Amino acid sequence: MPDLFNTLNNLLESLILVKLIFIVSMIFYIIFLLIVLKQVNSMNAVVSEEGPSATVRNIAILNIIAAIILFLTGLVIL
Amino acid sequence: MPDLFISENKLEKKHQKSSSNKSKVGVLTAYFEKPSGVFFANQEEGEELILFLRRHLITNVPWILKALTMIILPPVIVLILNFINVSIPLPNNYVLIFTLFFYLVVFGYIFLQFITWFYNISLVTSERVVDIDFSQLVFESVAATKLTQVEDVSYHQVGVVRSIFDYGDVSVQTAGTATNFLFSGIPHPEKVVNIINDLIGTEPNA
Repeated sequence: MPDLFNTLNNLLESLILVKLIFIVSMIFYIIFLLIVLKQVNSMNAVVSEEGPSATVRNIAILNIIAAIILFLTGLVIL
Repeated sequence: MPDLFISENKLEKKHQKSSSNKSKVGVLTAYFEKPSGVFFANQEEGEELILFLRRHLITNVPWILKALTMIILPPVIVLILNFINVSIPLPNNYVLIFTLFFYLVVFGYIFLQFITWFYNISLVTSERVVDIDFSQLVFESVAATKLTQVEDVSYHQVGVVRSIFDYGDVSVQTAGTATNFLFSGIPHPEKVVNIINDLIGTEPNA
């Protein structure tokens, strides 16, 4: 019985570690995506193409939204 | 004075008509003559864009192959694990979230590579040559030189792939201490050299 308890406890601790790794990775990834968006905006100020520049900016924003949704989903279901 | 006003108006209408006839640059455009709808910082009034250049699309193949490899990696790993009868030591919800995270990172890689290509632009205007460099988020530079300072333009097109897809490097040498330009992997290098030579008024040389 103590063996089973220890095994379950170890599994739970390891899963918490996995969850922590996921949260930290997601935070770093979202920061990275914000830097990407900042650079896209800065490059759009240097050279602007009617249409494509806005498309690229929208994709950068969608990428951030997807990352935030995944981060929140991870927080809820992990 | 009224005559001058009418004349300006006519000129403006002519300009509007000519710019509306031009086509716009697309997301994947690598070579475009006389583009409309493209603007860059410090563009002077009346300065007309003559050439819009990016690296040839084929130069993106290496990172596209890397991305495709990354995309097919998770299913391949699952197949291998099933084949050797080993199960992933994590609950299904963890596997799902980590797989989605992996694909999000792959998409981030694809997007970063794409914008690195997208924002590496070379422009030839009626007055100058502009080279905009952007590399891996950390490097950003804009260099420009007046056409009157351009001394020599040449191109290098070495290799089978470059000959088949008609792309190469164009180097623009400038007078004195001004920066020399290298447009790497751009489509139709011979055409580009001819256009720049026409603008600076010299004979083309390759």
